[in-house]
Amino acid sequence: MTLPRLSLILSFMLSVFLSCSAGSCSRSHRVAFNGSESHGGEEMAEQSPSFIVEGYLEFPGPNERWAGPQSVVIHLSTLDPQGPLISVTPVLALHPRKTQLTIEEVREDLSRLKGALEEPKEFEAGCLFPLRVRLIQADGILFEKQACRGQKGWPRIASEIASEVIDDRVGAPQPAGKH
Amino acid sequence: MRMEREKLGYLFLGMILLIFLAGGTLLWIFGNQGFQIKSGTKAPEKIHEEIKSVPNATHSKQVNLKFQFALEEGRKPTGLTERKDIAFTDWKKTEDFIIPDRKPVQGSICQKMEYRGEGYAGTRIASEDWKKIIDVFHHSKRLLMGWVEHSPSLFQPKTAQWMQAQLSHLRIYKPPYLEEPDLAWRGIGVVSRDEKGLNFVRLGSGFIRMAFRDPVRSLFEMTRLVAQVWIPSEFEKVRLEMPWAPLLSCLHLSEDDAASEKGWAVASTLAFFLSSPGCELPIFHKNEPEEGKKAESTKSEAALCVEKSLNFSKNEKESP
Repeated sequence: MTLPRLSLILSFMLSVFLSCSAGSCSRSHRVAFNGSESHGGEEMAEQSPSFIVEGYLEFPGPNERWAGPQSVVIHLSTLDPQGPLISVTPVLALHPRKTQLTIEEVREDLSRLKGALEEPKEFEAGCLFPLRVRLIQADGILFEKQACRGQKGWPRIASEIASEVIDDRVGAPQPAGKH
Repeated sequence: MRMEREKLGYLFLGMILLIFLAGGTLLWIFGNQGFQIKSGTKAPEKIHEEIKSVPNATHSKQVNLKFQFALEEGRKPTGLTERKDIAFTDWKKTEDFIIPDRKPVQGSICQKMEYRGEGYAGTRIASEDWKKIIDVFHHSKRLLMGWVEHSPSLFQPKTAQWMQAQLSHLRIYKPPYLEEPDLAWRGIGVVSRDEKGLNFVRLGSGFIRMAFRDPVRSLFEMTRLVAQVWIPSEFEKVRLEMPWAPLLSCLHLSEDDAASEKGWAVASTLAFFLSSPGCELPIFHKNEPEEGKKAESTKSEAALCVEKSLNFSKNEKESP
């Protein structure tokens, strides 16, 4: 075999290797950020450190001396590969349901919220019903924002997520009719 | 001749290597960008479009889609509004408190009180129930309006006029709300501002339950809500002189305190004196006198100060 031919074959193999390492050949075997192995194209997202693994949605109430609305905090964590950990404080149901949401669904919600956070939103100083969001990325970067309830943009998405999470914990609404 | 061939061969090899290396690098870059899109960094509407095309989308995705599509079309989401209207008085009495039921005893300290709602899908308010809420809303407006009218010495004519206009323009919307679906689980009310800058009230569906179970407290809460159109930050927006300096001074609040704290102070104080919740707000609670000493008044120093500076003692409170 002549040297140019050999070089041609070698360069072809090198390019194929580079392409495969980029993920365009096979998406079936990857190591997730937490060390566990995951299979299939969907889990490829776990490679990227820019996805959100944990989030807090806080609806703070006023100082105790006004006997005003209660503070409500929703915590969403997808760090446990067994399933998402979701907590709502205070507890809104005596017997909360086991979560029906999957890690992928929670991560999708948190990513949607993170995407919306990039839009600038002015926080009004006199706001009596603030809404705080803290999102933690897989690489440890923390995103924190505050806005007023009812504002357009990310506060609306946060409200949708809060509603979805409470729906999930409390359960489906009771059927129509008198109780 | 052979040397030239060899040179050409190496040149060819170098070029091929360069091309494949460049190709590989490009693939690597775009391949990684593909992952990021999958993990959700693209615009929310793009994600929704993507989900729309997937027939077996997950439940949460479908719920989000329903919200999104309904917002786009300016209607309530189908599939979430199938329930018949339920009178709130018929609701079950279990699991309906966010804060445990601690009915206030006259003279006791007010606790936080919030009735739980039934969520977006579970909230349907009968017309007669909503009528009661509208009545409470207008009653609160009348209490505040009447106080301004009967206290000309407290306000400049221009200020009084603006305060009355703020009350007149305030609207209330029937729950549930697509814009704040989580509110349907809560028992609170919120004042927001629309695109034209006009204030409006949104209520958690638990608030409607409170109106039936505890009318006295619900009137207080509604008055506190309505009074939020007069909080200090609202005066700052229109550059009007704020009439609340004596009130804030009575409560030992200064300019340096947070704007939200001053807002809660004004709204809560007005509501407390115009539509008593049947208990004492912690800020106005009078500590027991020391042993052997007789109390000069049953009211706290702060309460007496506010009464005097804002003419509350002269105003007769309306019954709810």
